[in-house]
Amino acid sequence: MIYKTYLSDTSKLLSLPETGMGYQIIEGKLFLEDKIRQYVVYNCELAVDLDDDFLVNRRKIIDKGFSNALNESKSLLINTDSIKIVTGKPTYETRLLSAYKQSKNKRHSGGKGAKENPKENTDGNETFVRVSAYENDKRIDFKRKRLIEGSYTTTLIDYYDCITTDDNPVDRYALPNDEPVRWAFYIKPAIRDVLQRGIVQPAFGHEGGGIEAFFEKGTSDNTLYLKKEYGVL
Amino acid sequence: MESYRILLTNSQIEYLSHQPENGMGYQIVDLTLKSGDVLMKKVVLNCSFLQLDDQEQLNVEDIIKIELHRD
Repeated sequence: MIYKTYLSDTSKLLSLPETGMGYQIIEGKLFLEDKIRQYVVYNCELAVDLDDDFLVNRRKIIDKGFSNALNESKSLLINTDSIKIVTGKPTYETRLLSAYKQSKNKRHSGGKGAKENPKENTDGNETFVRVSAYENDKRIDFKRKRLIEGSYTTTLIDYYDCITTDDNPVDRYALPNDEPVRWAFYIKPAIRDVLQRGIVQPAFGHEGGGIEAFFEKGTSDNTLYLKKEYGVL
Repeated sequence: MESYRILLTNSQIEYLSHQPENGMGYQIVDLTLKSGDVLMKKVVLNCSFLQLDDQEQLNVEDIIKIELHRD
């Protein structure tokens, strides 16, 4: 459930430290109840049960907008004196947020990076996309219209997921620079081309979770068929 | 920490263009400097731009060898 806090509780929350930027994880007792419950409170005024439905409720807040969620919520009947900050749990919220990102942005978790996985042949029909900050991307052989040896791409499906969920490609593909991605190179490898595919592992302070495909030997000539601005489908 | 980039020489770019990437658009390299120091695990973007931390004041002329980092 999503609740708004009473003014007295907001005042109390304002006197307590944040758990992370913009939120607090608290516990307390509801009136007429002995059980201690936990909540994530945003901006000291919007509380969400920290239970199995947390991600669903958080999604509702984002979809509706903070103000609408606040207006539509019932008040949280918590005993002000029982409110305490939960300590030692920030990683729990982080984990939940990470899970939320996976769900919202269709990211993948766990698994292995591409180089750790077995080699496979392409089927000649699948399209891969290389995103880049550089129009003159050095891993593209523009003369022979191919990907050069030892280069990474993502799949077209993952690229679409990145765009349609309005995801951040720098975080999704764990890129070491925060330069904006500007270009997308579309490659349809030939049947004989070999790749390894996997999940982008966390790196450079980014979460990863996109799909990566590594072409140790590059792709055949004339497999690069399209260059577009990033985000234009 | 702030970072900056230097453009590598044509021969260094050519060398890196034939080396595998570590991820989409970047390589991790070790640099041997004229001073004898070795800077390890530095990022090169697009086979061309060496990304350095602010406190690592380097010119491209200071680099005598560039190799892919091996774990």
